[in-house]
Amino acid sequence: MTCQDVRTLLPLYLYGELDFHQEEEFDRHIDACSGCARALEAERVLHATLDGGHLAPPPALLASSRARLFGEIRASELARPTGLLDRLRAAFSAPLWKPAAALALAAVGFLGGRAVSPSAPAAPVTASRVRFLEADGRGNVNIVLEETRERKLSGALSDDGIRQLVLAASREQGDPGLRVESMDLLRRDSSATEVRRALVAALVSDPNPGVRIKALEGLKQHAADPEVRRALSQVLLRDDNSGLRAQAIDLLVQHKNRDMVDMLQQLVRSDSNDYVQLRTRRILAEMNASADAF
Amino acid sequence: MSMGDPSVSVAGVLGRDSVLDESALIRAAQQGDQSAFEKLVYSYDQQVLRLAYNLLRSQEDARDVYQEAFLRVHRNLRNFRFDCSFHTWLYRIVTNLCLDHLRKRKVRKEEPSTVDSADGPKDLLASAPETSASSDPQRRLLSAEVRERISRTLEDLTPRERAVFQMRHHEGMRLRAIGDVLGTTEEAAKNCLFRATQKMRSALGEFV
Repeated sequence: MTCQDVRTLLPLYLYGELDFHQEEEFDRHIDACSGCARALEAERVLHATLDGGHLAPPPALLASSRARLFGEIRASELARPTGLLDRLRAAFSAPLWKPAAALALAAVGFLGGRAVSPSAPAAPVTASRVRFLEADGRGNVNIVLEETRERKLSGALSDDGIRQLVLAASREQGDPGLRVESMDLLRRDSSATEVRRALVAALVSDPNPGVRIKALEGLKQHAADPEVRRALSQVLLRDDNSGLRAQAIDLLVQHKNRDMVDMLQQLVRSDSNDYVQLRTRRILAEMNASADAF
Repeated sequence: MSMGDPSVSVAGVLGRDSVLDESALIRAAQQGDQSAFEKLVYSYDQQVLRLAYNLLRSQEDARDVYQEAFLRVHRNLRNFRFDCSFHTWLYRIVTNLCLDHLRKRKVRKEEPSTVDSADGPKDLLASAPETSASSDPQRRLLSAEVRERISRTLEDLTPRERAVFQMRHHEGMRLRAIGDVLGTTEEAAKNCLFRATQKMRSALGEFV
């Protein structure tokens, strides 16, 4: 290996990118050539100097990037059709399918009407299930059909009947899309105790994070309510969604009190989210409390 | 180099179990498991942000690249077939987005590493927090002039030279992995690194 080769390979040597054979030859040359040894030392200084060009991203940049990313993903998830109603709505809103869907509905209505009886009620059958059947011994079959009929209701949320239906929908386990929409309606008028309780129950126990976020939004104006504060503490300590925890701590600290210190210290020890950690430590400092429990 | 090689941070250093864990995480995320996706993001997002911030030297642009990269991962994860490592796939997305930003800047001739202040243009690099490696007293003596020179020289590198230099020098990635990320050969990545270090040597020769 010549001096020229060695000078060319200096950076790769320092980056550890020479193969075994090249590195052996390189080391042998450096041991024997003081000029190249000096060049290597100069390259080492340059290499170390370049380390100074590295920028450490501010911690707040990571926290804000995460919050923005998960916020965007949550919003797109919420906008995506989830329940049967949403899927039907999505299908009907697609322009190409509109004529076909309308024809299909007309066919169901016509056939359904003929099959049930000429005097069937005007509301169309939206689902049916055979619950019982038997042969009558004269060559006929008796069938008991269970039918679900669609009925449209309209009214203000302040109407007790409407509110009870929305509350029932907010507990509809099989359809998270319906629960999200129920929460979205309930959060606009959370002054009634039963509505507030439904929001609290969803916040601490609904398996869908989109539902929990809507519930949390509905409880913002009740951040001083002890029942709401207990629920927010539970979210902080137990919810696996970091976006929710970040919102919960912002809400909880709107009304600081010394009773929160234990919970906040526990949070500092257990929460892995940078934003929650930073916020909690800052609040503890503002309250003149240590971040560590003694 | 103080930072480990991200190309092996999950797969290499932590061993085979971690590879299996990561594969399981990816498969769960592919099935729509949101918490698995979040874990996947948390495993890589600090590296992604650091790379974007150092390549683009702008918080706003780094945040945009972070957002777009992980949204693309979220949208396309179902199509990920394990033909390459997840790290390579993710870094390919991130570096492509960064290269697009840098190329647009070249066209617009922006100087993103300097910002206007009341006292005139202020160099981000000179005022940025130093990394842990800089706790070495020798590094702390690095003059603002040298840091400014590094900053200017980085601006003069081509987008690909800058990407290769950043991934090799600061992220500690091997040239072969860098070649995979950039869709080129190890040899081409090596040539880019050569050119970048030569330019750095010419620019900083009088200081070192």
